[in-house]
Amino acid sequence: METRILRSYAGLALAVVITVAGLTPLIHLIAVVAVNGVKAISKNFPGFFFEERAIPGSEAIGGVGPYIVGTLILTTVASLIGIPISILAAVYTTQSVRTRLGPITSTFVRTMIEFPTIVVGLTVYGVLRILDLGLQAIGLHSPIPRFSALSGSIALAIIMTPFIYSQVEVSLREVPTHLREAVYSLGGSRLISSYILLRYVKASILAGIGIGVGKAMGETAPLLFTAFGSEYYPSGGLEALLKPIGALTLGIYTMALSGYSNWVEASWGAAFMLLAISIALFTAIRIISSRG
Amino acid sequence: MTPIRGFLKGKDLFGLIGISNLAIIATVIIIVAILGIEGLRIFIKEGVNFISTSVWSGVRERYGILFALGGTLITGVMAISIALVMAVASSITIVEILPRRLKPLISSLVDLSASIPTVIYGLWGLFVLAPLLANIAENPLLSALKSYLGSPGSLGTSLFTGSILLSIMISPFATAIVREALYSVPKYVDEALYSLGLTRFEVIMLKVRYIRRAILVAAMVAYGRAVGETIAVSMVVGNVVNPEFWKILNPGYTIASLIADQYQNAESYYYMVPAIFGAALILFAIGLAVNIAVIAISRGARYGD
Amino acid sequence: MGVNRVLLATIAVLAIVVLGAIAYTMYIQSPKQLSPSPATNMANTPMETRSSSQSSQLVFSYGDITVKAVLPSKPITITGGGSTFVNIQMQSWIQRFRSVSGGLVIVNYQSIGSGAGEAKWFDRSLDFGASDIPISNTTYQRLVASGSDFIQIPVVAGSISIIYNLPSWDENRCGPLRLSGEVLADIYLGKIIYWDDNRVKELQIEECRSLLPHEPIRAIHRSDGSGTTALFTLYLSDVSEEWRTRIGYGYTVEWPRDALGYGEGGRGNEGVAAKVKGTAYSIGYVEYAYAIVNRLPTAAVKNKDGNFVKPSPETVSEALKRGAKNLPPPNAYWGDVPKSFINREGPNTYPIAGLAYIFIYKDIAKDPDMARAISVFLKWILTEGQKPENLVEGYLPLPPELARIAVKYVEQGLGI
Repeated sequence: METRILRSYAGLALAVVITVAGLTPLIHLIAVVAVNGVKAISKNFPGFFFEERAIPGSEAIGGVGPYIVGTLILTTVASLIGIPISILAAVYTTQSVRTRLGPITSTFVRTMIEFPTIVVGLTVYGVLRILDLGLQAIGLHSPIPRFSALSGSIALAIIMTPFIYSQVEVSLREVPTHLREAVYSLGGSRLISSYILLRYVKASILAGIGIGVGKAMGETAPLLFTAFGSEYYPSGGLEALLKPIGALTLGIYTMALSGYSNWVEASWGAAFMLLAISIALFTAIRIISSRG
Repeated sequence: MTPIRGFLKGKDLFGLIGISNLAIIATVIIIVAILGIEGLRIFIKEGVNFISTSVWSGVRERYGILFALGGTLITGVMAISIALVMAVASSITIVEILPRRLKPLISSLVDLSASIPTVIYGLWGLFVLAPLLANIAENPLLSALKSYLGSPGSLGTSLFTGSILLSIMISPFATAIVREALYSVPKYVDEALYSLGLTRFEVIMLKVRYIRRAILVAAMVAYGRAVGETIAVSMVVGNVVNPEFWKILNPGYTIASLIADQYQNAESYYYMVPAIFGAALILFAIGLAVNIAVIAISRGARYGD
Repeated sequence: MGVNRVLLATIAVLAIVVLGAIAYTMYIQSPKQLSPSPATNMANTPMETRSSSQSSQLVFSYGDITVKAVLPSKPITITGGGSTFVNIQMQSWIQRFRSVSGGLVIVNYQSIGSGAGEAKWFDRSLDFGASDIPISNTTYQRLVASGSDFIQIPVVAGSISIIYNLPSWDENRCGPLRLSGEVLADIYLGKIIYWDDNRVKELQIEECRSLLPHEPIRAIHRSDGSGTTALFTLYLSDVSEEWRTRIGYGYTVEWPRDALGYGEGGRGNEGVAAKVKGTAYSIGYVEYAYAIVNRLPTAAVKNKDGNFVKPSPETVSEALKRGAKNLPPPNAYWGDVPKSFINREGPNTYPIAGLAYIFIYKDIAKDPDMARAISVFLKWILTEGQKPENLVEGYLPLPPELARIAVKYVEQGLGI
């Protein structure tokens, strides 16, 4: 056979081999996390989901209950803040006419995606600290806590915003012009027309929300200086938002880097849970996108 | 139109939504402002030395982040190189080689790897990748390259490990861009090339050349993510002040991992907090520069080719 | 269209379940009890039944110290952080005290490192900070400038073990590895590279000198701001002039060995222990308890009298009893206090011993319940907590005179 044809086959084979090599770490990672995670959870089933962290260095593997609740609370509050802002901003950007606010926002959002997430956490902490010191300087009693679930949620909301915004913006722009014209010709205000358009791209928006929520759930660095971490279930009603809180990601980070074998084991269990939720979310987004 | 009637018609209310845009813009400005304000003090104190020397001592209040800057750049460059190869290879495989039914599966697998929380990558990197690389690094090959690349007997946590982990983490993003670009090469280009009698591989290579701008964009997007990655990197990079950051088999710091590692105790010193914010500012500046380059290049793409 | 509705309905139901779960947990008032630990022992702690309308009183004793304390009237959570040195002991104390206080006093302690603990306590992000050295000069100046009144107290004693991982060494025949302060300083300065360096060799007993391999010593240190580092570098500054002038001592210092590629940073005492455990030919410094928990071989360090001594309850108490008998006022600069336990004379004295300290702002007592909670916790730690059954292996009780003074400072400082 001609060398050119041989080279062609070789090249194609190389591409496939590299691809497989590249996907192997992912498969291996999922496998390792699953195996170690299930092993860890089975040591304390179902207590693993409710109990608090075990004493370091002991035999017990304990549980990650408070972390799960922490992640849920942080993600929920972050979503409550981030989702409306992202969607409304994207709507404004795509539907506004005579103003430059929209394009400017888009440019800023693009830089946001580049932010190291730790910087976001850092600045939220910094802002709160300045406010706190400022209020005290004026002589007012400052209710601003340094570490709180709320500041953690704000940091997460900042991180999720660019993803949701971009998704909504792109999908609104892709609505065929004749459809947009039709909607506007119905005579409603811009608000109502925007609402109709949003419903039209519902699937895409849900996908974007899914991506944003997934990102928020999986972040660690921004929580280091905001939520701080806690080993206990949040209590006290809404006040709990103003106190430090734990999260699955923080727990994994702390426990994995410690030298205690029971903590390391527990971190695999927590990692498995986090991974399972992430994959479930990912699959759900895929299904929604393909249906819609 | 009275305000109430206007409100009912939703006429003037649309403008109110703009508040969310303002919120976003304000947030970005505040972030950059805080970096600048807090970081200013260290630039005044250390001046250019801040980025041209390698020292991190709280006790003597001397800070120079050259080692971290070098770490960030080297791990970034290494990571993109590997990620680009991966991206091109995967895109070729997905777009050109795979049968139709496998395309969405492999595509989804690639996208899945982008949604895995970074701390899990860090976990895997720390307990699987690092020991693996340590075993490989122990072998005789290293003694030959000894003085150039690092000292033997490493733990596995090193700038090199960080680069590998980073490349695994950022390649899905690069792949997504290259894949889209490859898909959107117009069919007539394909047909023209095949009609010239070229082999499949040669056609693919030419298509790759055709989308080279997109590949560049992918490289820069990947780089942007690489410099910002904190947690996974800090778990495997060793966290040691390594002035000879080209010795990638030694542990080191990247700017992001330095911030994550050192922030907590920074406030017990006068200048460490400004040093941290200064380092964050530099990191941000790098990301911004790359971002601007991306925009400039992709703008050029509209008129080019 | 029908499918879409089903999907939306599922999501709605899930959302309701999630929100319900969150609401439920947030309204849990009393925290769940931890699974019982095998070593819980409450025989020595009298506890009175709690009535909900008044705070009850407890009595603690230790040696000839007896002290009364009052429980808060409602559950209080105290947030503290800092030293990893003290972490194992602190977690154990916290768990026990929760039972002692009937669940009224919950302490959330994060071992973020002494430097971080001091910093976060200073800017009032934490209710108390814990460190292996007293308040550093930088922070002390700031406290003086801000006019805030505070107290610092020692809470427990410990020592620094030099751990090592030397596969070729034979413990049975040779005993522990022997090191001296000067050699340690030179290792970390990067002046001694290999295990079989003459200066390391000459310290060992003759028959074992050949067991030292020609491998570079991988010296592990702390990557985070560490009180353990502060104590260790304090010792190195004491025994090595070059270390003192070139590097100094404190939470975060330079490590010249890193530039040569033979150094490595670990996070927390745990991280250093883990790294030494996993790296052949390495050496590191950790709090004594971590050496025990991780079952790591510990070196015998040459003390001032010239004897090679391993850390143990006996050798460390030799150092403690020769150290400070008195403490400066609680809001003074205590810089010299740690020095009094370092490198003391005595045939059997371990040279690297120290205390762990806790700092509190006095005005935290503005809230009476918080004042009670912190006071009862600290008083328990300083008395019942010092008893052998409440101490984790590797930690030592404070010298009784110091415990007494500390209790006094707590009472004076918090007013209860």
